[in-house]
Amino acid sequence: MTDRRGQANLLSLAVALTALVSATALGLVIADGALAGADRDPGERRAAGAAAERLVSADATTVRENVLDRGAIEALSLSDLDALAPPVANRSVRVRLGGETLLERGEPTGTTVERVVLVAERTTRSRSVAVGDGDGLTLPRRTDRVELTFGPGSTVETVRANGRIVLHDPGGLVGQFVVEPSRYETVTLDFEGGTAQVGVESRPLRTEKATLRVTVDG
Amino acid sequence: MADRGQLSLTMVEAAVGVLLLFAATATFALGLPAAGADEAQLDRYADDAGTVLSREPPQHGGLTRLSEVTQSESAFERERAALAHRVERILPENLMYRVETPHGAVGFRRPTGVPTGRAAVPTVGGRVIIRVWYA
Amino acid sequence: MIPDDRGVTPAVGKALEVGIVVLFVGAMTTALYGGAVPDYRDAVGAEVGDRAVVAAAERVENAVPPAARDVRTVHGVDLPRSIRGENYRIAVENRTLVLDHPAAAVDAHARLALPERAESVDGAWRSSDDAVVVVTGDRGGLSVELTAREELRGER
Repeated sequence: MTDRRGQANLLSLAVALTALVSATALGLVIADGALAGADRDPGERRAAGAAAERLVSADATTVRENVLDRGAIEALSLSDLDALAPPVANRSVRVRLGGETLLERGEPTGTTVERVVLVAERTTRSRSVAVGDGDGLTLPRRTDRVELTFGPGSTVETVRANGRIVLHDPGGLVGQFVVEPSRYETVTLDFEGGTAQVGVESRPLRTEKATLRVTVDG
Repeated sequence: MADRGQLSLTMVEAAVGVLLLFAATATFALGLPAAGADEAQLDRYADDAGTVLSREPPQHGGLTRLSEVTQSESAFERERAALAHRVERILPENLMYRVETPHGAVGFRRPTGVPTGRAAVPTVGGRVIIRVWYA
Repeated sequence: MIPDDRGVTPAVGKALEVGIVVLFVGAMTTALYGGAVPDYRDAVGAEVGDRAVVAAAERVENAVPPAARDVRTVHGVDLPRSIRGENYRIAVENRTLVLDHPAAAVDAHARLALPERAESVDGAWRSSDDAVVVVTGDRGGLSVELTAREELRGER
């Protein structure tokens, strides 16, 4: 007869419940692991992105958008960076431009954000030229700033830049003047009205491309 | 004939229960896809290239390099080589690009299924679209 | 009578089984809902809150245009309807976006990286709002405001 049935049923029930409990426990462990793996710390990526964006567009570090001013960027300190981009303030960060490391705090190994930029430095080219009435002088490099120094005894009355009058004095131009031609075309200076010994100093920007890399945390 | 069905029926029920639990676990154990960080970085590259190009002086005439290229079909044909050269110099070496203008396109053919970054630059002559992807 | 060694009669045996199973289910449910489930909900809520605040901060930062003469822009912002099943607020405190949520575990903030031109940043969003970022100003200074689209309708 079926004598041990009741106990055998209970026994199998116990085994079944144990199996369910262990399966649930395993599921909880995997859930914990999945949750920990899903924590991507969005603040880290944001800090890197925000810092890169600020460096590339702030007035303090750039000549214009995406063109960094070499002097300003190399003089940047960590506290300057924190002020520019507050999300980076309590994190370890490294800023690299091209091959060299500009700033480093701690040992960041996390997200890196890269930006393509031009790095500009102003070079100075100056020369002294004797000009007569109607003479034209074309500057070989595009520039947005030219300083003209008229020596004593100059009688030039008008100076044009690419046809547009930029300086005019019927009594003769004497002294130092700044002309700001357009950055987008080479400038031809025309002198009218007399003769002069002119010192021409232009400061064209020399740019080269580089990659700015900001790495944050880990 | 004695112990045929009883033990195994409960075990079958238990097995079904365990399978259900595993199915529920599998829905979250497989993990999440990566956040698309690649595409965001590629978008930044394209945006930067567009910004740099849009402020550059032109080769011959026109307001900026990009507006020169979009001025007319003949201008585009004349300048396309210089544009391609400049874009290659601006972008990092591991990137390939395609610049689409109203008069034609310059660069490589865009592969499908690869994360690409995109930026659009408005110019006087039309919109220029720059796409970049990892080589 | 048929002699047998059974411990209990079938009916009682079945009743015992049912009782044990019910007890098991009850204990399991209590254990999970008492301990594990609220913890998971807290952790997920915290993660969602983090990401929502970071996304909102990035949206605000992108809404500020480069230097221009006169600016008045309105950008829409996508916020999750609720976090951990409840409504919440995102407010600006000291140039930082702060998430204000009834549950203690959900707590996030993101500092805003804005140019110096952005002189004032204030306002707040409720999760039920149609959230927008309004940037107004001129070359001298910009002011950034977080508000709901409904509030704007009068001004437009």
